[in-house]
Parts: sequence; C-alpha cells; structure tokens
Amino acid sequence: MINRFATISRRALLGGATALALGSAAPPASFAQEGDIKLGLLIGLTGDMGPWAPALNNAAILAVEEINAAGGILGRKVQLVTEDNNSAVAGAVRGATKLVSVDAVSAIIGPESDPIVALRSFAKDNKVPVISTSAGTEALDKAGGTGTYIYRTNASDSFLGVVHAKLLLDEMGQKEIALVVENLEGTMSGANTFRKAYERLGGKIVKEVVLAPGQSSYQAEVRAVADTDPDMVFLAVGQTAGVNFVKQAYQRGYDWKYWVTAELQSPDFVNAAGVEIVQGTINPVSSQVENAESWERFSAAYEARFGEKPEPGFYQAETYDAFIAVALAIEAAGDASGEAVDANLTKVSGPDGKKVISFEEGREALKAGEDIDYEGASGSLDFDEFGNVTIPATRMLQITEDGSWQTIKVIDSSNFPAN
Amino acid sequence: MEGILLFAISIGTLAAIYGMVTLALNLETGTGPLWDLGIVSFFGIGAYAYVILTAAPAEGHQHYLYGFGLPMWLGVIGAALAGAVAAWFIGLPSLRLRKEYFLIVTLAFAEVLRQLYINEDWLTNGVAGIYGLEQPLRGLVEARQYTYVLFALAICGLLAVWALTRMISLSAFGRACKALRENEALAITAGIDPRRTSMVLYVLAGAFTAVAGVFYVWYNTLVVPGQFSSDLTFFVWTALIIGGVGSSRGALFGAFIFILLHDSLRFLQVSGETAVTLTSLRTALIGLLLILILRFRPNGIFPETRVVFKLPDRAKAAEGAKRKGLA
Repeated sequence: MINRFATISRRALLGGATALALGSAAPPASFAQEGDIKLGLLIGLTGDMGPWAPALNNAAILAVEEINAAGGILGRKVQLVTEDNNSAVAGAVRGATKLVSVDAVSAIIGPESDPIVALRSFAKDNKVPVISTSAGTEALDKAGGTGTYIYRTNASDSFLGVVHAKLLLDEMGQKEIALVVENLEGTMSGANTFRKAYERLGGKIVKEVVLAPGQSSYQAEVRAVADTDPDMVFLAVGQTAGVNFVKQAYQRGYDWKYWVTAELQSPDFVNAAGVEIVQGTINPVSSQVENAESWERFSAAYEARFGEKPEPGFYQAETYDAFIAVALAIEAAGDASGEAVDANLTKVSGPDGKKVISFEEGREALKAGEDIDYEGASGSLDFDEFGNVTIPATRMLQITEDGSWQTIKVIDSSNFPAN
Repeated sequence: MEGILLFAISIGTLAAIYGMVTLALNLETGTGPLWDLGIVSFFGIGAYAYVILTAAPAEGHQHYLYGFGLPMWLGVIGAALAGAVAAWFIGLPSLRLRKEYFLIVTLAFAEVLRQLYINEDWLTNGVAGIYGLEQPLRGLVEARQYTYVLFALAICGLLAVWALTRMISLSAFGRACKALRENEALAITAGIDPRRTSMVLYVLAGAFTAVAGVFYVWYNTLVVPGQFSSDLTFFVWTALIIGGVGSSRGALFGAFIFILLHDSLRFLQVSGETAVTLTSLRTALIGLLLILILRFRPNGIFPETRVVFKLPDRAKAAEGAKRKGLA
C-alpha cells in the first residue's frame, strides 16, 4: 500500500464542481437504461487513500471510455460506478453491498489491502469478482484465484520484498544495510517481506529501527542507526516521518545513501527534504518492460485524456488493466455475470493465446475464435492459481542533482521467485 | 427493488451497532455526569477480546500468539467482561477528575489503547490485523441471505441494550446518576456517593460498548487497529447530540439518521467522473445538515423529556406503620 502526501489542484476541484453542477441535471445512475453493463470501482476517495484515489478513478474512466468507443461489451454500453470506501473496512463492506445489491455490477475493482481482505467471503457469497489494484498485503498471497472471486493486478509485498533484496544484492552489491521502518500497515508489511528475502539471499541487516508515526524528532533513532555506521539505509517509511528522519540525520552530519520504498517516491519528498540531502536516493518501482507497447499506448492515451502522464508506482496502469481484463472476460463468456467473469478472467489474461494489448484487439480475436492473452499496461497480467500476477520489470529511479526522479536502469524481474 | 432493500438492511445493521454505542454513551452522558471522549476504547477492547478468544491460531505469516478458538457465546461474555474490567481500570484514576479533565484523559486513554493494538504484535497481530473471522449462524441460510440474519442479530442486540439502559436510567441508581449530573454538591448531601456511582455507571457503559464491538467484528469479519480511532467517538457523539442528549429515543434516532445521511448520498452519483467531487462534497453536505439541525433544534431532534416517578406515598406508609404498632 502506498502512503504519500499529494495535493489536489484547484483546477481539478473547480472542474469537478462544474461537472457536478452540470451533472445534477441528468437522471441519476440508478435509472440508467436497462442493458448497460456496470463495473464498480471501490476506492478510498475519502480517508487515508484520498490523495491517490482520483488517479485511479481517471484510469477507470479511460478504460470504460475506450471500451464504449469500441462499441461496448457484447454490444452493450459499459457504465462505471465509482464508490467510496472511506479507506476503511466498514466503508468497503457498505460500498460493496451497494455496488452489488443496487447497481448489480459484474465486478468490483480497486479495494486496498484491508478492504479487500474484508470482502473475501462477500465476493464468494455474492459471486462477484473483487479485484484489487493496489493491495500489497500478504493475506492475499494464497487467497485468490478462479473460484474464489479474489484477484489483484499489482504485485504482492512479498514479491516486492524479493525485488528489493535481489536488486540490492545483485545490482548494487550491497551485502549489509540498516533498515528503518515506520509502524504503519503498508510500511511494516514491506519491511517484513524485504527482511525475509534479503536474509535468505545472503544479505545482512545490521540494524533495524522502528519509527513511531507522527513524531517530530527522530534523534534517538538516527543515533541508533549511526551506531552501526552503515553506508546504506533502507527506508520503509511514510512521507512525513521520512522527511524528518533524513533531515535530522543530515543535521548530525551523517551522509548515508538511501534506498527507499514506493512511499517516498514523489517530488514532494525531494522538495520537503531538500535536494542536497536526498540526492542519489534510489527507489525501485514495478513497471512494464522498457518501451513495452502496451505501456506506451496507455501512457499516451492517459496523457491525451487528462493532460498529465500516468506515474509508475501510482497504480493507474494496474487499475486500467483490471477493467480491460474484466471486459474481455465478459466478452469471452458472452455473459456479464460475476460467475462468468470469475471463470474467464484467468483465461483471457494468458499466458497462452494470442497477445492483445487493447480491448478492441482482444474482442476481434475472440470473435475470430482465438484464445487471447491480454498484455497489460502494468505488466503481462498473467494471473496465477492464486489470482496474483508477477511484474515483468523493475525500474530503478534515482534522485538527480536537479531533484527529479530519473530512471537509471530497467531490470527484468520476470524470473524472480514469487516470495 | 430487492437490491435496495439488501443495501438498506446492510446500512441498518451498521446503524444498529452504532446505536448500541450511542445508547451506552447516552447512559454515561445523558443520564449520568460523565463526559466520555474515549468510548471507542471499550469498542476496541470488546472487539479484540472477542477475536482473541474465538479466532483460530495464527497462520505462518501472522504474529499473534493466542487464538483460542472458543465458542462465540463465550467470546461475547469475555468481551463484555473485558470491557467492564477496562472501564474499571481507566476509571480508577480518571474518575477523580472533573468534567473537562475527565474528557481529556479518556480521549488520551483511547489513543494509548490504539497504540497498544498497533504495537503489541504478539497479541493483536499489529497493523496487519486479524482477518477471516467467522460470523454467527452462518450456515443457517443461503450465503446471500445472511445479511438479513446479521441484521436481525444486531437489532436483537440493540433492543437488549436499549431495554437495559432504559431500565438502568429509570431505576433508583439512574436517578442518583441524574442527581449527580444536575448538581453534584446537592447529590452528595442527599447521600449519593459520586465516585462509586460514577464507577458503576462507567463499568456498565464499558460492558455495553464492548458487546457492540463484537457485532462490529461480525459485520467486518476482521479487526485492525485503524478501526478504533477517535473518529468513532466523535461519530457517536455527533449522533447523540443531533438525536438529543438524555433521551434514548434521540440516541437511537441520531445513530440511524447519521448513517443514513452518509449513505443515501451514494445514490446521487451520476457518472464515474463526478464521483470524486461528489464524495468530497458529501462530508461538507453532512456538516451543513448538522448545523441546520442544531440551529433549529438546539437540544437535538428528541430532547430529553421529564420523567415522573411514582414514589411510595410517605403519609400512607407512616399510617400503615402506626396501625401495625397499634395492633
């Protein structure tokens, strides 16, 4: 799970307000014409995930617009129903109940770690697939797959742990590291899986320090790390704690190299901490392989529609892929029920069959009677027996002298072990 | 149509759970003199106690040591006891304080407890929480119909809490609490022990809230520390204030109307694109409605009403005693 700070631009808010004013004149969604296929997006528009949710909603809008432009699924129009889950469990249960009972959606896409874990039996009972696009939790490592109605299109924290460990050992030759982790669900989970993988593959964690969230001073923790005199520090922390920690270490004269998790990969982190302090910091993010056609296509379409590029690590591509895969599953089954989606989702996403990178391409191939393998914008999107995917490549981003995050290397991670 | 009913039932279940907490808070604040800003403490204690007693032992990647796998009814009793004991412990130091200070200390205790859930991995599985928890009477009906069963259970729980809190507030003990609320000095001269009365009241409210926590676990099928932040306390307080402090009808009404307000706005959605804006406006709209309610009904929608108690007739009692003496 990501945990960063971001701001919503004033223009986006104004635009939204205008859209709302115009929209309220139209009939409400519940009276939409019969025959539309509805797909649900259940994300934390309010609460902790609030700053990132609009980007996911955009990705969903893009997918649905593309599907409709191509003539819809099974010739029927697709309607996106976005629901808030308050970034919390009870909100997810209510939101999912509404999506299933009132809107009768074919699938629910988007819930984060805690919400999707809470929806496991709900999905099966109501025969509606629930597909997360950002949940890293280990609880889903063996929980999903065909028949369970649970899937995710992003990589598990267990896999990311392996990626961090392999890159540090193989690419950086870093055999020892100090681990600093903030006590939050996302960061703890990330640090635990990293520790396991790193130690198994021969690395040594010289010191592990836990930061309590929300403190203004981490002097004691900085000192504890300094005691072991590391040359690299692994930071699995949120934005606020991360900025405080690196600043206070710098003020005490420590010149450590930092290796950070997705939580800190943002311009805000660099601006708040100062370029001179965090220059050279590295973060690996999962991505499509370099110049992958599916990613380039998605990225261009997203930019054309919303005026900004999608960010690797923001889960927009994962969300887009989930919608396209569900649409193809319905097309393949010739039936928009949740059962049909569950039965076909793994099939249409490969790895066997003709490779397709868009809904339209996939539908044509299906009409021609071929098996298909949807290649996603986020990766090859081949669901395994547990409804998980692996990530084809990892992009190593580094903070340059001018303070921007630049790709220094793209590493093929398709053959890394799953955990 | 059945779909909307199912959704309404699901919301109703949550409202019933909040209703139990609101009733417990009303017992403390409406009937009694306790301004409790830490009601979520007992909600969390109840939930965690129940889970630890009834959950299956931890799987490989989990860290909690105890999952006793006991039957659910034992879990419920355990939760109520844990809530009562926790209230007693928290009450020991904090009930010595006057209103405003009691309020601050209970708020602080609630936060301390949340930190405990987060940090005591061996007991609570930390921030990852414990999930995949079972629901009662699950096998009784077809899976989709289970929403109705849970709703029925929650309503039974709510009725029980309602009956008990009502009985308590109408009893001699309840009158003592009201006397303390109105004028502590006067209550003391009437022979009411403020410390003892407050403690009993606090422990009772703790037990009720803990049971509500069990229902919350059934509703969510998992428990994570994030569920027990002070947001819940403020939610319940708001519900009680708009409903009417001091009246159980108000407490119930407040809980239901507040949840309904939150969720009925889900139906306003026109398209995926407006969803983001609408959701941010939702909170503002609810705030506006609350302001309006309090502007026109400053004592809540159902303000406290006077209760007339029929006390034993003293003159008659004295006469009776005299007659006995003569005979």
